[in-house]
Amino acid sequence: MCDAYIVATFHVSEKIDIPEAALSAKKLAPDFGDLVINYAHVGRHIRELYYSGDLDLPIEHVKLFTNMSADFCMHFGPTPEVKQYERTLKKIEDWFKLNSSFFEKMDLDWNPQKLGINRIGVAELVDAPCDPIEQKNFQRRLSFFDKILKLELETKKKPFAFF
Amino acid sequence: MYTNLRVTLGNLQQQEVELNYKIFNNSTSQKWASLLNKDLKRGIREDDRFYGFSTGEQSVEDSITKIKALIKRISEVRPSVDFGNVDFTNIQAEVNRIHIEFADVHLLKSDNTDELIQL
Repeated sequence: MCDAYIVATFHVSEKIDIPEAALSAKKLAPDFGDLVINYAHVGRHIRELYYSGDLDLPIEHVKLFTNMSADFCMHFGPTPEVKQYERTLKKIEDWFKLNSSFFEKMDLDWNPQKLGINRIGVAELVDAPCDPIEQKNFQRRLSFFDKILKLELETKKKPFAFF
Repeated sequence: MYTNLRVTLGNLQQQEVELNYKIFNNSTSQKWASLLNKDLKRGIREDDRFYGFSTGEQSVEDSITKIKALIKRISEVRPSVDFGNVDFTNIQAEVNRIHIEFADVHLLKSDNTDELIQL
């Protein structure tokens, strides 16, 4: 199954810092049905640099993935194995330390949380299939669509507190 | 409190499918939903970024055509941006080079007017 995803971007009116607690989320690749915060800059974040293996760029183009806007990404790719997180994180750490001279120019030390390496999930698909074959069929059904027509947020008012 | 996000997808055949997302009840997720609520009033900016689905894959030729069109568009609006001679036979090196140029001019200011142009 391919790693399929849909990105939605907006005429962003505001960007805010991602709370520190969320930055420590131990997830480098989203699960099937995850809706995650999308990168809010024009630039390149650390995970992207690692996957491209490309450090041939001005340092001012490196912008950490530590703040968020309304932009988001819906994932319909295979759910990674639990052990994969530690393995991939170690690889990124090794790569980061190997290229420490590049990152020292930006005063960056190895700290996955502060570097904004993890993916931040904010919602999950209701009734998302767990079985890989069902996931593949679900992904195939979505392949007939190519446009986001409508987005609707639902809210629930907080109940009154009675004393 | 924001509880759900309903996403409706469509296609040229007027078919629709609805995806229902449960928004997490934590501070980060609720802050994100609040940002989304604000920006939804101004409409979605990009509604067709579908990647990795079997019928949505782009060929290299399609991608090169799109890149050429974008270079042409930038050059029209801002002739002072010099992309040089783009060598599409050496794609990786050229994409790296152009990526830097594109990032520099993401929101273009026209050479002729003060108008900001969203590419």
